Amino acid sequence: MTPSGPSPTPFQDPPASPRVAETLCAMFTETLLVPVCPDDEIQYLATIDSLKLMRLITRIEDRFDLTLDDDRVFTASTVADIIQLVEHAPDSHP
Amino acid sequence: MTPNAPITIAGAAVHLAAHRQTARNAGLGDRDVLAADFEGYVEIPTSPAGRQPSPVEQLAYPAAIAALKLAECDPGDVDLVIYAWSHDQGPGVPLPHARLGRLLGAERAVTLGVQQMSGGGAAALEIASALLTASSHNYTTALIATADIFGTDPRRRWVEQASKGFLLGDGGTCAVVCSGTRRPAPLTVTALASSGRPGTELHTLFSFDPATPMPGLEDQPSLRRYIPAMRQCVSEAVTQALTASGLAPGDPRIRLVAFTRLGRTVLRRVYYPALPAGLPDPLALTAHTGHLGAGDIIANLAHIQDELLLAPGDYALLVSVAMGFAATAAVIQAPERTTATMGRVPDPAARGASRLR
Repeated sequence: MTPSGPSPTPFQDPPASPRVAETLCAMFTETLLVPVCPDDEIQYLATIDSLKLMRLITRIEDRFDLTLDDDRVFTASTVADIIQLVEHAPDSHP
Repeated sequence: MTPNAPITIAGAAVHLAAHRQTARNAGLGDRDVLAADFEGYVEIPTSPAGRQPSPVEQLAYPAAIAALKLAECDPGDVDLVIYAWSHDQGPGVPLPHARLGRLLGAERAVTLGVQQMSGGGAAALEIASALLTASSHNYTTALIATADIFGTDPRRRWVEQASKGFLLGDGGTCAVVCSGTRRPAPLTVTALASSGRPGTELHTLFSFDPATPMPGLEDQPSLRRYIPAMRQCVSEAVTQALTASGLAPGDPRIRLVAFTRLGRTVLRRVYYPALPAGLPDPLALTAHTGHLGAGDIIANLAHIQDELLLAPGDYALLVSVAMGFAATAAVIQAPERTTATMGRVPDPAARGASRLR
């Protein structure tokens, strides 16, 4: 307990899974509070350059221990594009 | 600019507001607390509610007294006072730079005010360095200072403003900048360079002023549109400053990089990609102060000085970014013969300043 109440548990990222798509969709859903699937267009979820989504991208990097190419992230149009970036990142550890 | 005569930082100091506010004791919801944790925000200094804010008296003045003491400098010897701020300086303080000069007893100083938002401290350092070395002036001792108090609404700081990538903390900063070698010189300014892109001004329609409403997320212009220009600014300033110092980015004498104290996401996704490859990973300095408005670069100078992060001959790269958009890079060196640090090989990461990427 903290003086002002219980501490929230850290972000609960989904466990490691060979299904990168499932993991990423779960992370998008947890961040945006709406169900997200790979076909969803990012512009209808949030602006890709909003801090919320930039923070999510950074969380994805932490989760998969990789560095995503910023230019490609900013030009991604669907969640599936982000999934592809993660799956094909040279230092990816999904 | 490359100073045409030695410019030294004779002393630098920070005076933070007394109260420490955390995301938890500020009463934020769980999601906002987690977001603060992720951004690397541990606590921020805040001023007590209910008082009329007077940043000059409450924060800049004590920081200046501390810096003058470190510099072994009598206030009467200060001939140039440059004060930078981000917003309201309180009722009855139309000239905060003159107020600071009067409070200090810098009786014959020329005082200047700088309003450059987050770039104010860097602009003050650049102006001071230029005037101290200008043949048309006879300044020898400049005092540069900043201070801001950013309001009392925790939600505005931790949620609304933090959604832009910065968490504001209340603090005053000061450095005594000198020409020549008459005073202690723990740090010297090797080069300063700035770069601007006023075409990005439309992205900066909001201000730190508590009276100015923050635009909703749907009203924000696209940051993506401006990121290339912002990165170009950083890259240009850093490259110019390193080149003027005769340093390649991979030079092992560059011991550390210290950036404006912003949140992890904006630093990582917007600014750090603009740094040339080969530099050390920037130190993480945001956690316990947040963004001190105009004062980050001076606070970073004070941190380097206090923690003895540079061995003799080592360099530090300081980068300041500001709405507008503008970036300033300063290359700082610990002089070769500094008895206080002789024989030490400090490790910045071992002194409470972790690396951040």
